Amino acid sequence: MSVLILISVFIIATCSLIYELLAGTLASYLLGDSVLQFSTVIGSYMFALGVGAWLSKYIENKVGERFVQLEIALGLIGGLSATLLFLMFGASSIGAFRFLLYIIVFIVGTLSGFEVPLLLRLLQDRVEFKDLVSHVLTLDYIGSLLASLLFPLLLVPHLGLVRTSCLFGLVNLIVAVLFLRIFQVDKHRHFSLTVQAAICFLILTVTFIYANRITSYSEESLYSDNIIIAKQSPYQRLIVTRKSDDIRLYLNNNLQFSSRDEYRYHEALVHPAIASCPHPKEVLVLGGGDGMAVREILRHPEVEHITLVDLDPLMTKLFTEHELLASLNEHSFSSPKVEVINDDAFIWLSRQDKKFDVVIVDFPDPSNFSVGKLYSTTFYRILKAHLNPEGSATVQCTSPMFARQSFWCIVHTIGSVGFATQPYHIYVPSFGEWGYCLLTHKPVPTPSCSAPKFLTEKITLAMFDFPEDLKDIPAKVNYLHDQALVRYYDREWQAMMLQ
Amino acid sequence: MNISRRDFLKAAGAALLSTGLGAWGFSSCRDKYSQYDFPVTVHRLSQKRGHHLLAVLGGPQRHQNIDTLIVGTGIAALTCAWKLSKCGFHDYCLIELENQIGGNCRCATYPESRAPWAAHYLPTPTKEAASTIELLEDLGLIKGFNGTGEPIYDELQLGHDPHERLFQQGRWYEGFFPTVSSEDDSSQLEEFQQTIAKFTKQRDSKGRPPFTIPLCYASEEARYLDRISMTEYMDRRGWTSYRLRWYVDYGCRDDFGTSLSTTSAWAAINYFAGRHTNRSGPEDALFTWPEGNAWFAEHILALAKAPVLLNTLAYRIEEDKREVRVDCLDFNTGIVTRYHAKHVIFAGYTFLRSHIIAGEPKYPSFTYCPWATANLTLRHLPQEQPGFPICWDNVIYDSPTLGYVVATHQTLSQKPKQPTVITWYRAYAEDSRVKRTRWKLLHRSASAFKQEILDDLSVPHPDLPSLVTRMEVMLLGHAMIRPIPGLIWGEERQKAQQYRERILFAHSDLSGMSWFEEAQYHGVRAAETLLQRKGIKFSSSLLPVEG
Repeated sequence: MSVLILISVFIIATCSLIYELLAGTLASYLLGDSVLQFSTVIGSYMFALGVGAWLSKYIENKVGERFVQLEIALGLIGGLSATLLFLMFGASSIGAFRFLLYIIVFIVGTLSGFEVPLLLRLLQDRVEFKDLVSHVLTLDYIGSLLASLLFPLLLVPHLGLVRTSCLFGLVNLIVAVLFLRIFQVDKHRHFSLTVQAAICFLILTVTFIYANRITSYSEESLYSDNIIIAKQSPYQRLIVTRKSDDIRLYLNNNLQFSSRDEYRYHEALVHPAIASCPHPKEVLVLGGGDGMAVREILRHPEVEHITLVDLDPLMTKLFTEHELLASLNEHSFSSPKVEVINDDAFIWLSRQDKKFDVVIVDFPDPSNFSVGKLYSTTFYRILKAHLNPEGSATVQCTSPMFARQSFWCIVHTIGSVGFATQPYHIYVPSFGEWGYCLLTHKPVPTPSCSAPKFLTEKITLAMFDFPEDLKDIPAKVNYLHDQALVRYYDREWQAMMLQ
Repeated sequence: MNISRRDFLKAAGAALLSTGLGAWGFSSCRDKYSQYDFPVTVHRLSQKRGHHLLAVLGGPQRHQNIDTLIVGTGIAALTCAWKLSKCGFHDYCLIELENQIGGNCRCATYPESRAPWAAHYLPTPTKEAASTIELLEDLGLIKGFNGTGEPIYDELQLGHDPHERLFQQGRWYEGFFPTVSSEDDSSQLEEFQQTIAKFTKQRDSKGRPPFTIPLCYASEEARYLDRISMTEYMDRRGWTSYRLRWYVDYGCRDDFGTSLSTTSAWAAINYFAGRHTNRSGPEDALFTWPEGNAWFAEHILALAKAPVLLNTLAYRIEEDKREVRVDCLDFNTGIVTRYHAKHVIFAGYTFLRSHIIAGEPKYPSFTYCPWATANLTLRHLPQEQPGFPICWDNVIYDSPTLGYVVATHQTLSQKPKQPTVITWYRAYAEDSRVKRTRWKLLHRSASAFKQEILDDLSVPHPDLPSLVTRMEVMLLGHAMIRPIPGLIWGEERQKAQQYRERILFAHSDLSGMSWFEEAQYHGVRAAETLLQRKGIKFSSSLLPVEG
């Protein structure tokens, strides 16, 4: 029996270190900067152990029963800690997550801190003090060694974090049941504790089985609205949410449009370029797989043919076939004038012989070095070679408000390859102040145009006027071999996020 | 209830046993790569073929006349051919031991991508490298010159941003200089950079800088630095910072295959200063392709329209007053042909000369570092770690290796998670007993290489072993000349550069540095000497050497 108790010491020591490692690992997975996360998590955990040890003196009697309760609580909270953290990461801001992380670390650490003092007290009358301290602490440290070996080598690679945490929660519960048998507890309490342990056992087992669903649920809770479509293409994660009449598309967690105000964005994207071209017959759209830009282009009957090049076939398929989504773009992809090509825009265009009257360039923001290549001098040179002499094009240029230097970097890059540029901007509530650049081979007058929902001649004129806080600032040209733009963009949006 | 000693021992025993099981788990994971089952091939290349040199071969079965034979197809040989063809001389042929041209500019071809086996980029040239500028123009990489005479490069062929990053303390940082941790680090780095900047601006009375590429244009002012090692130089300057030394050591290993203590201080400083003296074009720009400098080998050959005999070993070269006789073994047919040539341009390693050419002395100062490179085909790039994103060149701080380059870095595609090839580099520079190291490498097993490579790459990329579908290792026993103190400005190199009556020499090792511009300099110099000896008119591609 005493061997059994000593083995329990060893087991609970292993569990305790596993919880600490779990919290540290999760924090570095989710927050990055592993040195910082591990140091602060270990520090807080050790401190909490001390708090638990200190608090243990306030447990005056029924130490055995309290110890069983403690093990049940630790099994439940420690066992669910990884699950809770995953769910919280999805549901809360980074700041709130960080706060909750340390709360959980503190609770688990404090509960764990009770363990050794209580055990020492349970055994104090049965073993000589010097042996007791020596035995318990020895096993405690060996348990830590085992945990630190098991965790990185077997548990994380084979079970994953959520299941590891459940497994060790279950181990704590087993220790609780073991102690219930060893120490005489009055019958009524015995029963209620057994039931408690059984319930917790069930919860952890269910969590263990459904661990994979939990990780994906945490993603869903990132979105405040109802998810109506969630699909993974080879290229991106595609999510459509709906809240009454507001339908939103997210690609890799970035908002693409809100159906409440996307017309502002797309009217401003399309009509100035078409108005600047005397004979807009052949139109090319690069990006824009949601079909909204095509919808606006089709309002011009003189347009004879529209080619849309978008990388992701899943995206264009959804916006062609899904009734709700296709209704948003007024079934523009089903028009006989429209040809959809799923390919890399840069590569496709560089292999093309055909020239176009109007080109609409609607790429994602230059948030990484791969996308940054689509905003390089090399790309605009290729674009220039495919634009008819009287042709015009528009490039979406991110926000001149939040990323002012990025915006002007794009405009300067376009100008550096010999285009005449006319930057402009409008306000889209779900995006904020947004910017574009109209480009032509030779300077043309500022276009005046109108569209059903938003654009009027007066608004069009105002779009080309830049107030003091959006005005041109110095910015480097973006080259393939020196992507100034991605660095500007990264710095500016990071500064935005910190505000 | 009392706990006896026996009980405690039982409990402790059980605890230690389970800890032992954990340790066993650990040790079984030490062989953790056995679960990743992908083919590993080690190419030991010309080892077997080259060692035919040591065996006595029979006499020739065939005789053939040719005006000029170029032995080798590295950059020196190919640019020699380029210059000869450009001047209207076509009566020559190249012979190559391997089944692919290029020497250190060979590449592997996979369905996923092509990838280099060794040299993989060329920095935009300095003004002294006049023949390189001319060659780049002929290859279409320079599209013209602007008003101030600066070359306009084909942007699509320049290495895309971001270029390089360093993995340090669990995080990637842009650039190769380690993040500084102390005052000493930053002040010494600043002093180092100022010293380099000073060297790039210094000129002697004839207007020559102390460090240049090609190095024959350098003034005598700093040559005394060739007599000491870079370690000694840094000691003298009081540059003790571990990070600064790592940085300079990395540069030496990367460009020469020598460590700080075995690199001539002149050579090491030339790596930093020569490259930035009279440099034109965007700072730090370079040319690169998925196949690395094999692009150059293939395109220069196409420009020169030069005939090449592959799989052919020239094992004996004899010169007399009338001709040069070259005995060649064709590995395809097993036939030995004796070529009777008016001239031979020997574009092989200098250490081979005493083995092949009758009457050539040994050049004991010419030593070479053994390298291993490996091409790993991956299902897709590994998961990103904290810090700066994936670059073309990715280096791990404090690792004995040189990191890896990504073959598909130049892609314009936006498709994520595409199959790719990464090339891992390792110069075995830490042991100055190169022969011993080379011997050990030649007998190393494929699984030992697999372990070394995956151990190294797992540091920044724990998931990488599970992404590998193919690993090919290339052993380059004599990859690069080692610029040990005294080689570059010593007598032996001067002697080795002297041409014989009918045999000319062209190889980068004649400069003591295995650089493209040096190889080309020697190729063009040999070609121009040959044209002169034949009385063919030409305009020189090289700047005149002063002094």
